[in-house]
Amino acid sequence: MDNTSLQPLSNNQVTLLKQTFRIVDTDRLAMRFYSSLFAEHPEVKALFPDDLTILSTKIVSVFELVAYSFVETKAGEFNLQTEVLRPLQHLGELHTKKGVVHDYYPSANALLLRSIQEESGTSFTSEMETAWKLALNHLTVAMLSKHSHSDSPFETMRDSFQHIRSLLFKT
Amino acid sequence: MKAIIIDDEPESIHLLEVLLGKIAPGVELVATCTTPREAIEKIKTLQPDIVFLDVHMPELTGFELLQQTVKDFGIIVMSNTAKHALQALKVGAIDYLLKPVQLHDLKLAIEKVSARKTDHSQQLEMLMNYFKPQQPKVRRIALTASDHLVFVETNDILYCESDSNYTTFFLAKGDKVVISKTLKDVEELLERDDFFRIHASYLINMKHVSKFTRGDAGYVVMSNNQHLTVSRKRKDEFFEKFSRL
Repeated sequence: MDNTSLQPLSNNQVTLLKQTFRIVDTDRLAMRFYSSLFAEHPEVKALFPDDLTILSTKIVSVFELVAYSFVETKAGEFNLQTEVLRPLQHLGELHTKKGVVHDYYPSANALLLRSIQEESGTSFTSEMETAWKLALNHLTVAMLSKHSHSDSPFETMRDSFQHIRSLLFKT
Repeated sequence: MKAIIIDDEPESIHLLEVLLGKIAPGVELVATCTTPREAIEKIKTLQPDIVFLDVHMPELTGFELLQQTVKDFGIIVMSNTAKHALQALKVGAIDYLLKPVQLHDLKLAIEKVSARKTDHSQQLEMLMNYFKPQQPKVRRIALTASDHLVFVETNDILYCESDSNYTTFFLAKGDKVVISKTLKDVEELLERDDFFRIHASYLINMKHVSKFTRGDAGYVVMSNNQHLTVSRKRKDEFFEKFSRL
């Protein structure tokens, strides 16, 4: 299975991702996310700095970058643009160095999704939920892919995709 | 309930002492401390049920102090600003009081400690109260710079210049970041901020406009003294926006 097995988004789904940032208060979103994370996984508190103010704006900016970086790779199919893959891989490497293990990603994605839902209120739809699930899968795959020094990050992404997929879709 | 107040300002301690006397007869103030070192010792020996903790203190911040104690007491963080609320969340504070402490807020905080209402939803509710829309927001965007991300405060962006499918960000400190997105994409990303498209090639941060010359060849002068042309068709709209600043 190669990277193309990661389900692409539709144009409408990309629009829904972008719409989220017009609906939610991003400071509150970050607050809700961290609050849920620390409540449900107190063991991860140690991985975070004491002052989360800057980090909370950075985490939102990454989600926003992802939302705004889907490009049409085939007719009607939107995937993350190649230029953001290596920077996201690098971000994943930084997370690994800080002690974030692969198993944390599905939980963090679920908490983020719930936080978006709670902050969006009645504006949150099942279509939006699907769009975000897919987008977060793309983000996770990009962050957990091993860095290749070749010009094609997809080569190593393909190698690690099976493992990441099993993490994302395990029940 | 045994309580300790930790604050380097004696006036603040006195105010809190008076308020506690008025509304919390069940709270016994066993110590007041003006230095973190003294506080660590008192917490260890007196084993309070509740600690009122000022964030800003010399030597150690309130949060650093907590790292040096066994936290088996209710923490009520006090600060002059709301910006430490997230940090309070991380240390498991039961409430967060803005100084000068108000009677009503203090009463609620004591009630929470009494009931040990430390569950997640209440803690979240408490923190959300301090993130009100009127607070000036810092927004960052993540830009891709070849192999890593650069996090930039939108306030620090002077303007963006289009180069076909690429956009160059000119930053307040003189740095430039080139990303692989069109200026139209960037305009969409920054639509919630105070940016204006003055020209097919330029998207500018209105906060960094120093001067606007409205002639046939209209132009703006940015805070770095860069002169940028305003296109004929956008001049009127820009002038209207600029006049409102």
